[in-house]
Amino acid sequence: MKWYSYSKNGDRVRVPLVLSTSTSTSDPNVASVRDSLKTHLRKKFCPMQALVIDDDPAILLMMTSILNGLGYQVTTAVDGKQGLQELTDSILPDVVLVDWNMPIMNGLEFVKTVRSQTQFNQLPIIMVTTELEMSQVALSADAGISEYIMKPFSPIMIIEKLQMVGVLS
Amino acid sequence: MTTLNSALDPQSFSYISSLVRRKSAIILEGEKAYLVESRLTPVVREMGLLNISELVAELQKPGSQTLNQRVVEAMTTNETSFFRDIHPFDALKDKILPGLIQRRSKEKTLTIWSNACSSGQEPYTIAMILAEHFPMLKNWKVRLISSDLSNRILDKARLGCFNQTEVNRGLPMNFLLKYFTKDGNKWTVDQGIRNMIEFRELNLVDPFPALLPKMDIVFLRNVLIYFSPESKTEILKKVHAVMHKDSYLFLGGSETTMNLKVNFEREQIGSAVCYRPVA
Repeated sequence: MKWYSYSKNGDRVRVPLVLSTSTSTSDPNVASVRDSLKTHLRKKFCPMQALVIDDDPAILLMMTSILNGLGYQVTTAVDGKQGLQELTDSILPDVVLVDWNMPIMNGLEFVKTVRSQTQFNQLPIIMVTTELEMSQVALSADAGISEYIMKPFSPIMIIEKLQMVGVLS
Repeated sequence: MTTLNSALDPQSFSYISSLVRRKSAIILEGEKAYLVESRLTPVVREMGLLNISELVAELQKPGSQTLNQRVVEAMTTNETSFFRDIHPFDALKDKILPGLIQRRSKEKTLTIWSNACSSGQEPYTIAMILAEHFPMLKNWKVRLISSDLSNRILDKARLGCFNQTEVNRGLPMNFLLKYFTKDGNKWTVDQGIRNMIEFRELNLVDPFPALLPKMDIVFLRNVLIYFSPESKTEILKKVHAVMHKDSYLFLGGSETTMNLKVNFEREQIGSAVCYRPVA
């Protein structure tokens, strides 16, 4: 249990609810109930988390504003490598929105690296990019993205894609 | 250089709203003045006029029927997107179509009507769902009728050609990859999908064409909101008359048959709401 105290802003207590993360159960009903319970508890007690990776501060600001408005807590990173670090160090997000063209590690390499790790198999990843050719959409689909948004985008486009990947009702 | 002045005076608004009401039964309340301005400014520009008052003067001249139609179309063309509001399409795929396919297995016919289809995203969504999830329907007589008041917008719908903003709205990536080709900055729906749809001009307030077939599923979404309760009732009665007994009607998310004297029962399918005709 962790206790956080804020000057003139009350206290916050964080109690981890330990649920088995074992994937070994062979009973699909047990697995289904377990997953539903985890999702339910998470939604009830913990706001949705989004990781946004983009090297453009204006995009990070805009995306954060849209996602905050939808009730998400947002973590940002400015390149794929920093994004990977956030994935490892912070709470596992409910969704990742990643740009393609970034320094150090681009979005495509980020997606390939993330998908090579089994614990991130189910993590919804949305590519948000200025790359508009069909071959590039196909390339990122092959790399394992869940959805694709072409820049420029509007809030409604983000909302619709979040619904599509099942992280917004 | 000529400066456009699209500010709308009350007389012009009154003229436009009564024209639109007369031709389409759509009601434009005072707070929709912004909509008149935004929709008619391109027409004003196209005509080389200065403002909407000048457009109204043109509309009153003899022989201006085409311009009148153009203005009505500009005012009645509504926003649309692929998989709009998603839930009706989930219901269609998961429950409605499997059930209908079972019930129509002898006659092997299925008729779907996408009404007020605008630039075609709704009928193309339905066509892609049919192609993707129900390949057995290839041997059936499936009619996907798609209608709109505006011939101009139907011409666009027939082309099946969409810009970046349009394909960015609601279209799943796998459908973009599978059913579209890109040429320059346009994405075009495959010919096979386009061939599945019959586009027709149809004004909901006019009598329906006599040869309109009996429908299994009707999409009439986000259009009734613009009509008076009397017009809504009339339209829904006409729609009821062309529906099979075990068929389904989808209205927009903010629309309902409540307080209207029509014979529909509300049914919840998953997160979607549809209406079933009753005698």
